[in-house]
Amino acid sequence: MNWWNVQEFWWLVIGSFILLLDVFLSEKKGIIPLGMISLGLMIAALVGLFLPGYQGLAFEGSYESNQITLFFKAICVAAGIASTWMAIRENASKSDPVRESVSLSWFVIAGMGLMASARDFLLLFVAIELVTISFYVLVSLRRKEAISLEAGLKYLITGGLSTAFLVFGIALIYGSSGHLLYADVVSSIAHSGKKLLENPVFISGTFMVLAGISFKASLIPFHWWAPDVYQGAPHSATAFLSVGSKTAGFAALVMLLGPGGPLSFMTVSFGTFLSWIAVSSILFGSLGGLAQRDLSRLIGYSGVANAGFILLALCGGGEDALNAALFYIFVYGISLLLLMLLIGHLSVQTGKIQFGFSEIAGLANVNPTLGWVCALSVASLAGIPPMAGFWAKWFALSSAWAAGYQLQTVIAVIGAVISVVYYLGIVRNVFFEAASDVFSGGVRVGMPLGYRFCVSLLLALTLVAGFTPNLFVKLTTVFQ
Amino acid sequence: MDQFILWTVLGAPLLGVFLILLGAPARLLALLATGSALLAGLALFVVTSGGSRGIVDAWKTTWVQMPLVGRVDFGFDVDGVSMPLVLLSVLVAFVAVLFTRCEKPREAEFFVLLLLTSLGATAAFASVDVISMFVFHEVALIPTFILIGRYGHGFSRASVALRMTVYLVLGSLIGLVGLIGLLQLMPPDVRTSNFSALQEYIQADVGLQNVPFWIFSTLFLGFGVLFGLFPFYSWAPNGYASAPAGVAMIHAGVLKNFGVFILLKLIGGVIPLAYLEGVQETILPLLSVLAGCNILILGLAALRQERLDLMLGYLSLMHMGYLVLGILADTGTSQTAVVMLMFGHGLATAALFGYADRLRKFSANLRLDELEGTGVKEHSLIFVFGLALMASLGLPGLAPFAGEISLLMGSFAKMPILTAVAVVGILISAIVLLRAFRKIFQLGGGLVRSELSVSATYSQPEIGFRLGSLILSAALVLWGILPNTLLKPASETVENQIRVLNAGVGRNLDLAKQGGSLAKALVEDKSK
Repeated sequence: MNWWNVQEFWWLVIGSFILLLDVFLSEKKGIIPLGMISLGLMIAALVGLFLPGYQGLAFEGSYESNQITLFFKAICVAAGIASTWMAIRENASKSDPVRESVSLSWFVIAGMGLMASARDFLLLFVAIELVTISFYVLVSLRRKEAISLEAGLKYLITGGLSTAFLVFGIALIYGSSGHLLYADVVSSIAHSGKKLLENPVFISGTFMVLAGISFKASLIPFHWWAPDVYQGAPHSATAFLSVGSKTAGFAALVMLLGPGGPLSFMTVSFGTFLSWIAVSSILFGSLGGLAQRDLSRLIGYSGVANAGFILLALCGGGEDALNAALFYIFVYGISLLLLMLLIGHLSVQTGKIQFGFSEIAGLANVNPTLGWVCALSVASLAGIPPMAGFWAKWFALSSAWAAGYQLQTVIAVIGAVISVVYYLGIVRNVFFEAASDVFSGGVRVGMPLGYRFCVSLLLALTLVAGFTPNLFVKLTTVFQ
Repeated sequence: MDQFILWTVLGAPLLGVFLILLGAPARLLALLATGSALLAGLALFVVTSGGSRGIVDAWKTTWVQMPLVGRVDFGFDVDGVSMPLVLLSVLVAFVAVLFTRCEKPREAEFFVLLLLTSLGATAAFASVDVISMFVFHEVALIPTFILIGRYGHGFSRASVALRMTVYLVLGSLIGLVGLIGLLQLMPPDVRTSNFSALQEYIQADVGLQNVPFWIFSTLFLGFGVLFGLFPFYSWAPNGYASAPAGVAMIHAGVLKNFGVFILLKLIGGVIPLAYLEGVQETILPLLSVLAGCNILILGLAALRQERLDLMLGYLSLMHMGYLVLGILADTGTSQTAVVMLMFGHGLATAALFGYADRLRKFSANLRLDELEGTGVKEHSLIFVFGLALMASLGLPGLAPFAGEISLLMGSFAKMPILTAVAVVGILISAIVLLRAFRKIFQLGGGLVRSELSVSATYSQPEIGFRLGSLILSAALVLWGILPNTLLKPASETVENQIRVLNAGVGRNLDLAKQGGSLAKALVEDKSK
């Protein structure tokens, strides 16, 4: 495999090109020309992922492209498209548009792609840093708002901490096994008999790597940043973080914990521990979300709960568990992207930066279609049939059950019921309350055409995946 | 032919939904859709002779196929147990549309949601797969939530709707855990939730002695919440009181029976009580106490209600206690009686909720003291209300009677105490209903209240109401006189299940004697 077969390489090139264009394009032109070029290229990048291409190992086995990595990349790029589009709309009417997000998005998706494809701990580390450092900027882009700066600072500090964990963990793994390539670590585990797995240095290393990635996936106990950062960041960055960054985090986790990964022994030796991590994430996300009134913040909590479900599915170990987790990630991604697009759109149209329960109240009275889009995406997140979220939750629970984590499954179900309270709370505000003030004074809430297409596409996917889940059970096979 | 009729039952409402969404006149379309579904439902009833023979070559396809969860089938069929419920569902749906109106701008949304609710119920009852049943039941969840919160009565309707929906999600997810546990008993290569296949595998391969009793308990408690098993009932009375008439009719009359229906299917066919180890000593006494509480405590609660809608809500919950009795008694007669009772009480409850809504113009929240004597202003109601009320308390000659009497007879031998409680319950419900009837229709005679309701004088009921009450009354009388058209197919299906069950268990026991059952060997093989 040659370097020009690597998508991430081209994404980085395009990112740099757009960065240059940003410098040379006059400030007066605003964000639209630059943003539209980037958007077009990113859509092309998404389409490119579905075209037949090289699959296999590359660069002495430190990089791999296969159906699963392509699947993760497709979700990350889709999140990037949504985020770029939202950023364009957020800045379109401003006198001092912030254009940096356009080029940064490219570096982020390149980093995410590498996170999925990395088969080497060093490459993984570099990829995660590429994503995280770009996000430090994206999160605090609304630099005149205290809350955005606060979010940026929190993300910086917790991100720095997670990096420290990760790099220390990698050092310990390297120190004890003598290898950085995933495949080499796996074979050295196999060759050492049980020795390596009894080595406390190696085990602490694996746990630290896990901790570092748990930050990205916002799993307990490394979840604290999520609600604060989601609330403070611009909606475009929140959408990117909550869908893209989480997917990439789980991509790395799947490659490590999944069948054949260097940490796959953990689903066996520490499966119970992992399942309790998952269950406490579910409970925390569900209970913590109950008190929230801001939608982005609520999505932060719901994200913690959903990360717990994905980990719970993964705990099963093996091929079936992997399929359950992939289906969950896909469904969660499309449902949440749908909701984020809606919130971002409303926030731009009404000029309200913080969008909460009292702002979204009565949306169904103002525009029934948008009200229903909101209700359906929320129903999917809540896992209510016939939306796709139900099948995702069912597969995840079955996977945990099949692996023998019965008690954890029951607790996860209780968590799911608790989270239904706040998901329905959104529907309740949208449908049952009188229209809020933000919609008064002739605010147009109808969507522009392209946006409408995007939302319809996502909604259709959610519904189709709900009605014919069988088409999506072996998701990764669409990639050639 | 069968196929065509069956697909009309399910397809007509769905077509109605699409046409309304495309802008067709909502109420008219809803009437046409539910009307054709009703006609098709009646035709299905006749063609399959009450469900005693199923659909010829029933079509089904694989919905989900995954080793983890097995195979889920998408397909529909009827038997003696599901046919009455399908019939009930289409009957109540049509009358519910006849009884409801909605103001213009939101009319389309209202009727789409109403159609989806009733379609979910019908599809759930006719499904051939346990997971599909579950999914179709849940389809009604969001529509009812929005119907109650947006179109209901009373100031607290939003929180009432939320509470109701959260309770229903709680119940169904706990039930889902039980289903997951049940499916995971089977080895992955044969795992399926198709009902008849499930039955076969659990009996022949897994062996009933290997079904842990807590799977049974989880299923019972989970699906128990769906029909308001004591003490998980508090969502129901307020929910029905706040719901628009049509929704209360469909939910209280039809959808609430789903919990009982799925339990009847599972306990009657897949995991019979008699063969489960540990159930008899542990959970069964607890469940019979809970059923007794449903009958006695909720019956007495109904007695104390000062609002007609709450009173009807509590009464409908009280009737659920009888159904639990029938399931727990676990005899062919009692299970048949449960089917008949679900049909009869479903009709009567739906009718009472529908008629009570007519009285809202005298008292917005149907307070009994404000309704005193107002009934005489609604001459048209006196007879039909009285008929539904008599049916509800089990008067011979009306639909629920046959179910009630065979329930008491079928259960007495096995559960004498609970049966005695049930008899006392009949007395309580008689007191509750007759007192309400006397207060509304006999006291005061209109003279006392004439000044109160100048604006609401007697008006000729519109044609829709007349037609609807005619259909309900006719159904109550018809199946009161000819209960055998329902009882016989139901009894055949139930007895057949019991026969298959005994044969399966016998085969399994033989295998066990020969040194370990087939499934045990399979499971052990897998675990190696």
